[in-house]
This record gives sequence, C-alpha cells and structure tokens, in this order.
Amino acid sequence: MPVTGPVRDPDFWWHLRTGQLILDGHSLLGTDPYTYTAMGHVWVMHEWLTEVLFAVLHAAGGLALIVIVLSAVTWLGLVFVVQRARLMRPHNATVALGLLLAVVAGYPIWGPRAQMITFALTCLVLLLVERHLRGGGRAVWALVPLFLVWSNLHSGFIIGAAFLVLIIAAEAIAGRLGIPGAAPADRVRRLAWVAGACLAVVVINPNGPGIYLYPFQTQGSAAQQALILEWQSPDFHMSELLPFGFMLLSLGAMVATNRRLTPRDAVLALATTALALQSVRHVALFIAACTPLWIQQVELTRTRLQAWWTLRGRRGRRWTAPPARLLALTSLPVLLCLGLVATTRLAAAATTREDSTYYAKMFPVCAASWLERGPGGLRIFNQYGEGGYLASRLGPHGDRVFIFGDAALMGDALLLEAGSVESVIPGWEQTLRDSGTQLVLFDRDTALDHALLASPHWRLVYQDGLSDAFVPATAEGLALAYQLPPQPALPSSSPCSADFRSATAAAG
Amino acid sequence: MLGGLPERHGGGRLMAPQLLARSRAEAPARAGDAAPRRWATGGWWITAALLLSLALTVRGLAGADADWRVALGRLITAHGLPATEPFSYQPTPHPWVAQGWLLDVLLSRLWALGGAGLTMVVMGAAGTAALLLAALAVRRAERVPGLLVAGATLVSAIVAAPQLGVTGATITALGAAVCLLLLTRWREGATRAIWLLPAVVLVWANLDPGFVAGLGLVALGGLTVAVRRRLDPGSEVGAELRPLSAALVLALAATLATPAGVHVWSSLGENLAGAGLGVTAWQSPGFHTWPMRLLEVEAVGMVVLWALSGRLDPLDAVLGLAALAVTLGFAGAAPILAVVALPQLAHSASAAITRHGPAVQRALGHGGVVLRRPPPRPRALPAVALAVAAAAALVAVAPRLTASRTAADLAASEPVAAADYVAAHLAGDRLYSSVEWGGYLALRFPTGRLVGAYGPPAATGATAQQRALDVHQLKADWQRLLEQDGVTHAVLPQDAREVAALEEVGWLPLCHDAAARAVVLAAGPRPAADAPVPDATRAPACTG
Repeated sequence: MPVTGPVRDPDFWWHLRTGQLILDGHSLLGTDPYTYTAMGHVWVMHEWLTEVLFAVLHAAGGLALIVIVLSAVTWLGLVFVVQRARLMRPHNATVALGLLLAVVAGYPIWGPRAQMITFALTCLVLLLVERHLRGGGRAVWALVPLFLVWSNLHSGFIIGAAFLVLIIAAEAIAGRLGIPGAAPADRVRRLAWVAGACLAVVVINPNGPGIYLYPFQTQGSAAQQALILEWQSPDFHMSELLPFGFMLLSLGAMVATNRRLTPRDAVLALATTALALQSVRHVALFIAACTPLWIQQVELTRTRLQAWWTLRGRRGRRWTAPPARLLALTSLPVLLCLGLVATTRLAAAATTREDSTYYAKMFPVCAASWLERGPGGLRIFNQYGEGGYLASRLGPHGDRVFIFGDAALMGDALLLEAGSVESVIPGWEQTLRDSGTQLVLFDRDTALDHALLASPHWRLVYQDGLSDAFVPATAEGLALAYQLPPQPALPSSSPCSADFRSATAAAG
Repeated sequence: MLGGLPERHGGGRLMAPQLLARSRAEAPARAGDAAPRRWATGGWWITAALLLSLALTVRGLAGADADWRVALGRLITAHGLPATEPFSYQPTPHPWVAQGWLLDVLLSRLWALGGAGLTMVVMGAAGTAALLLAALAVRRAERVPGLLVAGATLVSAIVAAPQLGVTGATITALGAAVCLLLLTRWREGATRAIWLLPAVVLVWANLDPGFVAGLGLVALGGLTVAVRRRLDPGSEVGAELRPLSAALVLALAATLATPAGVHVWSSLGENLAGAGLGVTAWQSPGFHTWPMRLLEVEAVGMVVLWALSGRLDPLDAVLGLAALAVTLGFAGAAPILAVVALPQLAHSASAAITRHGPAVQRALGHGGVVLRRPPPRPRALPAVALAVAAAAALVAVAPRLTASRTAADLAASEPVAAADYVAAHLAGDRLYSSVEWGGYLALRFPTGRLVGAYGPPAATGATAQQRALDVHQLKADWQRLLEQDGVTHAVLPQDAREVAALEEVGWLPLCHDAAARAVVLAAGPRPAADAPVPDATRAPACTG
C-alpha cells in the first residue's frame, strides 16, 4: 500500500516532457531546452530510456498508466527483497515482519519516480548474486543484459556495480582469511567475470564511457548536497524516518549479539548505512541491501531466545498452530481486505488528474494555467523543485525557467545563484537582473515571497493558493504586467483562488 | 592522577596480535614480571593521547556561549541571581531559571583572572579530563593494552572536540564520563564508588542542565544489570542494586538543590524547544561534514568491534545504542557518544585482536609461528611519542592563548568594531541581531535591555527565540515584530538575509565591520520604486 501514490517527485514532470521531446525529435537533446540560464550546457541524458518509457506510457494510458507501472516496479523490488530473504529459510512471520518494517522505513522515498527503477534493479542484482554465491549456476550471467539496460535507464547502475565490486572483494578476502561463511572461490571468480562484463557493457549508451563520471559529479557536488533536500542527511525529528532509525539501530544490536553474517552482508550493511546517513534518498538502498539481513538476524535472535527459554525449562503450555484450513479461512478475509484497500489506493492514485486539487496544492498548476493565457517567451525565476513542472507545462508555450531538477546539467554555480535568491542573500536582485528575469513565480509564505511583498521594487501580479507572481516595478516590468492576464476571479474553495489558503485555514 | 592508570590497562602490552594472544593465556604467571614496564609505557601512550586531545579540546570562542555566560556571571556576582532574563528587550521579560548559574559565575571569574585564554584552557582541560575519566572506565579485568586505550582516546577526542570548548557541552561530557566511571566501578564491585553520584549530580545540576544525561546513563546501566541478573541469576555478582537505587534517588533529590529548585526540571523542556527553533545542536547530525563523518565512523566501528570481539557485554550494547540513538536525534550529544564509546572501542578492539589476530597472521603468511615474538620494539618509543605529543600540544595550543591572538580571533568572530560604533554613536538604542551575536552584544551592552535573543532557548525563553526566528526567516509579520520591539538599528552579518530585506524597505547601512563581516543598519523611510538598493559593504568602516 505505501509504495502506491500519486506523483510527488518534482522531477517527474520534466522527465515526462523530455521523453516526449525525444520521441518527437527522434534524437536525444544535446542541450537544455527549458531554462534561460543554462541553455548552452551539454546535457548528459543518463535517464533517456526511462524518459522515453514515461512518454510512451503517457501516450498509451496517461498519468494513470505511469503511476501503475512505477508502483508495480517498486512492488517488484520488494518481491526481490523477500526472495533474497527467503534464501536464508526464515520463518514466514519473520519475513512478513521484516517486509512490513522495510515498507514503513522507506515511506518517504516510495512513489512514482525514476529512482524506483534503480531500487528494483538493485534488489534484483542482489538476489541474483546471492543465489549464485549460495548455489552457483549460470543465471548470474543475466546481470550483463540487466546492466546494459540499467545504464540507459538511470545512472544508479553505478550503485549496482559498486555493490558487485564490494561483494567480490569481501568474499575474496574472507576466503583468503578463511573466515566462516565465505562463498566458494570458484563462484566468486565467476562472479568477478560477470562483473567485468557488466562494467564493460554499461558504456553501450548514448553517453559512452562518460556515463561513469556522471554519478560521481552528482555525489561530489557540494552545492547539490547542501541545497537539495533529498541529498541531505536524514532528519530523525521527522516521524516518517523513525522506522529507518529503528531498523538501523536494531540491526546493529542484533548483528553484534548474534555475530553471524556473511562477509558480503557485512560490507553491504556498512556501505548502505554510510550512504543512507549521508543522503535520505539512499534509505531505499539501505532497505534493498539490509532488509534480508535484518530478517536473518531476527530469525537468529528468535532461535536463540527459543533455545534459551527451553534451556531454562520454562516450557509451560506449548503453543500449537491452528489447523492449516482454519488458518487459511481466517487469513483469507484479511488478505482480501488488504488487497481491496491496496487496489483502491492504487486506483485513487492513478485516477488523480493533473489539474486536481491534490496536484494544485503541490505544484504550480494554477499559475501555469494563468501564464499559458499570457504572452509567451517569458523568463521566469522559479523555485528549484517547481522548475520541472513549469518547464513541462510552459515549455510548449515558449516560456523558460531559471532552474529545474537536473542539478548536474544546471551546474553548481547556477544552483548556488538560485539558492542565494531563494534565501534572499544580499545581491539577490542583482542576480535576477543579470539573468534577465522578467517574472518571479514563487511559493507563498517563504522568505523570498515576503521580501518581495515588502519591497517597493517589485509588484504583485498574481496570487493563488500556492504561488505569488511578481514583476519588477520598472517600466518594462509594468508593461509586462499590462500584458499578463488578470487575476482570475474564482470561489475561495478553488486552489486557484488567492483566498484559498485563508479559506482553508478558516475551515479547519 | 595517571598513577594507577597503566596498571589497570595492562599498559605495557604493546605488542603484535600473536604475542598478545599468548601473553593473555599466560597472564597469571607473568603478570608480576612485566608489570612495572607495562605500567610505565602504557601510561606514556595514554598521556600522549591526552596531550594531543588537549590540543583539540582547547577551542576558540567562535560560536561558543562564553560571551553571554560571562555577562551573566558578572551580573550574578555583582547583584545576585536575577528574577527575570536581564539583557533582552522582549515585551514580557522571561522568568530567569538558574540552569547553569555556577558555570556562568566560574567563567566570569576565569575571564577576570586570565581573560579568554585562561577560560579556553580551563574548559579545554575539562574536556580532556572527560576523556581521561572515560579511559579509566575501561574494565580493569579486561587488561586492555595502553596503546589501544590511547587510540580510542584520540578517536573520541576528534569526534567530541567540535562540540566542546567554552560551552555547557564540556560540562555534560565531563559529567557523563564521571557517571560512566562510577557505573563501571560499581559493577566491578566497588559499591562505595556509587555514593559519589549524588555529590556529582549536585554540582552538575548547578553547572549545566546536561545532568539529565548522567542520570539517564546510570539509570539505564542499573536497569540493564537488574534485567540481566533476573534473566541469568549467576551473572553480575559484583553489582549491588540497592545502593545504586538509593544513590540514584539521592541524586534525583540533589537536582532540586539549585536556586531554581524544581523549575530546573521544567526548564529542560524549554531546552528541548531548541529542536523546533533550528538550534544546530538539537538537530539531527548532517553527515556531510568531516566531524560528523568521524562520528559515524566511531559509531560503526563500535558496532563492528562488538561483533568482532565475540563477547558483547549487554551493558555496552545498551549504553552504546542509547547514546547513538540520542546522537542521531541531537547532534549536540556527540560528546556523550564519544565518552560512552571510548572504553568500548578499547576493550572490544583488544578482544577482537586476541580473537582474530592469529588467524590474520596465518592468512598473511605467518602460519605455524603464531606465538613467534615480534621484532623488538624500541623501548624509547613511548617516551618519544609522549615528547612529540607534548611538543605538538604546546605548539598547537600556546599561540592561540596570547592576548593579541584571542583579540584578533574575537574581532573576526564577533562584531567588535560594530559594537564599538554602536557604543559611540547609538548608545541606548535597541539592536536587532542574529542569535549567534546576541551573546556578544549582551556582554558589551549588559544594561538597558538593548539586545534581542541569544544563547539557547532556555536563556531568553522560547517565545523570544521564536520571534527572532520569525524575523530571521522573514515570516509574514517580520516587520511588525521589529516595530513592536521598538528596534531601529541592527547589527548583522553582511550576508544575512535580514540585511537584504531591511535594505529593500529603506534601512540604510551606517558602517561596515570588515573583520567580522558585519554591518550596522538604521531604519529609514520607505524608498521609491526606482531608488537603488544600497551596498552595505561600501559603507564606511565601523570605528568607535
């Protein structure tokens, strides 16, 4: 249920629009078509295949089909997690508990977004590797075509490659040291050959070997790490992240107590813990790598406790499982109810229209509609997270935005400039002037919004439940204000009404 | 103080893993022979580590609480404890709670005696003392080599140091280390040690509200031992629960023996409000900075060593995980984690080396000669290390303590020149400022309630901090709040968003303090739409 929901990822919209542009032009976009600030920047399109898939799905079944497919992809990832956990033969109840915790811990991350492809493929890679190291076989060669596709879908393939290298190194060292639990040397050797082939095939993509550099540019960008929320460390004051904190601490405690884990699990746990503590978006990777380990450790703890209880002779009245038929009869209604709720939730998510109140509260839907009625070719300063939506809606209208969500394409300098304007750092007006900005469209009740409202140098020209729009109080700005459509007169119940916020506050 | 330390840690056993394994097995027979040399060398390593730690824990005053604490200490010394918060201009003065009055007085006395340099040294020494006490909390029966204790001390010093200095966190770290040591000794059977707890908490509660961490540490430790004894009646034979419970009750009662009385507890909630007010120490740690990455390494290292050591102590696990959980929620708790982790790192590492050392040696090609004696280590090595550490500490610390250096550091971190200008030209005017600089301005202008919020939320009250935050974040009513407070001047960092916003509405820069990158602004008439926005950095230099 939690992996299903409407679009929350602000980057989704420009991915969709980019896919449509690729299909229209039958070629990748060499430079950025959306902004007036990064027009000459060369675009490394590391997600081109995902974007094309989005466009194809959208053409076939609209937003609904994309939401359904991406929810299914996330769900598949969790199925792979369960399959890997089951290789250790735990009790079904332990698997269910682990899966439940994993789903709750990853709640801030789930949703229809390109990153879920990397989550599912990471889970699949780890499943195939675990199967190979436990039982051998040739199925592990399936990783080669998988990496070929992955490197065209999302730059997160580098995570999968790094996991492969880590696992091979850990198993090789453990085998050399004779550490118990190390995989047989011949299987590790075969895995090394497979990994070599995977690393070779990933260069078969429109960006060539340059694709290897892209993830490191993102990881190494101080501006991205500082300014983009999902790249920041988890804030454990948010209740949504407490399950992840619990999972992390309980895993540490159980590993230290049970002292039984394979070398590959140890390195994966250490690597994904470091990643998840560095950036909240990597909590998904922690879940992908550590959920089976958590399940295994719970199982070990349960077994130990059972043995200890027996040893102490406190058997008492033994619990006997109910007959299987009775269990099935009582479980069936519960499963049906859960299935019904999940289906309803998925249906609700899929049928949420782009112009619905839900999206209007999250993205500048109303402001985009207003701007579509005005003169085209505007240069709009926007919020970083809203650039993708505005580019998607206003690109065909000829308008360009200041910044959108491909941070690597934008570059650190532009990110910092946008950040300084958003934070109203002295010099912010100069940045807007130098960039040729004609209109500022920004969320209400933010520092920039209040600074603009207070300033005599700017004039408010539009207001809805989410956004305010301003033009400079200069001759050019006032001329533009004259050409812009008037503020729409709507009932206060509409999110496109200027009074929507106060009406909502009064109502509840 | 170091006298008994090396013997406890088996100090001289600075040897390769294979020899360590052998000497452990033979320890009872050989202990007497090797004791004097171990005693000496182990102590040298640990002393060297502590000297290096001193270089880390003696910290400058930038970002510290020193200014407002010294101002408060002077006020208390001269006029006694105030009834309401004495410096800020908030509409309704906040009732003042004597949370750390003794530290305020001590700091003001130190400042009067030896200026910023002496204050920095004494608080740095307190931070190092915390590490020493944590090192002493290594269980004696473990016979951990001194080199490992020294290594763990250095790691913890690096992790804790960024939060220490002239601040209440140093007292928290020191108190936590004392409590940890008392708990360890109590568990080893030295029951009388635990009776020191009420006295420690009595002093601590008057110094800093962090005493709650110490009480929590001891209570958690006692509870763990009690549960373990219940589950496994043969374990924890040395620990007597009744004295611990009695000492805890007395310690709880001792917390009421402060001028604040029972309010010392209710004001703790106000400290917690810091989480919602953006106080860095109350936020989750951001692991993009090096100090926090090191904290992560220490925490992960602690868990890995637990697993490698092969015999996790339940008390270690409970205290370690509790400290880690608190630190994940509040970055300011990093020194507590460092103190708790120090002895665990040392004895877990020792046990892990004993357990896996021979296998590692075999795998690396030394199979069959596991008990081979390693090449002789130069006997002078520990002495040389100690001399190098002492020289390094001296070179690192001494230059920072000179009057000229402390004055220069102060001028770079606090708006000294801007305050000189205010004193000369704007005497008696209320000043809006950042919370970080509010403390210095309180020190400079302690009378007349001329400054805004400063220090933690408990200092000026959560309401004043919220008002300051609303102006800082340019909330909807930011201009109205300034007008309500009758503020007509501001001392702000030149790159603060308030500078840009105030200039938009007509405030004018009066002067620019280049050393601290500060500007002094005065309210002015609302500008015309076509009037240019002034550049604060081009204002004349601030002079007295």
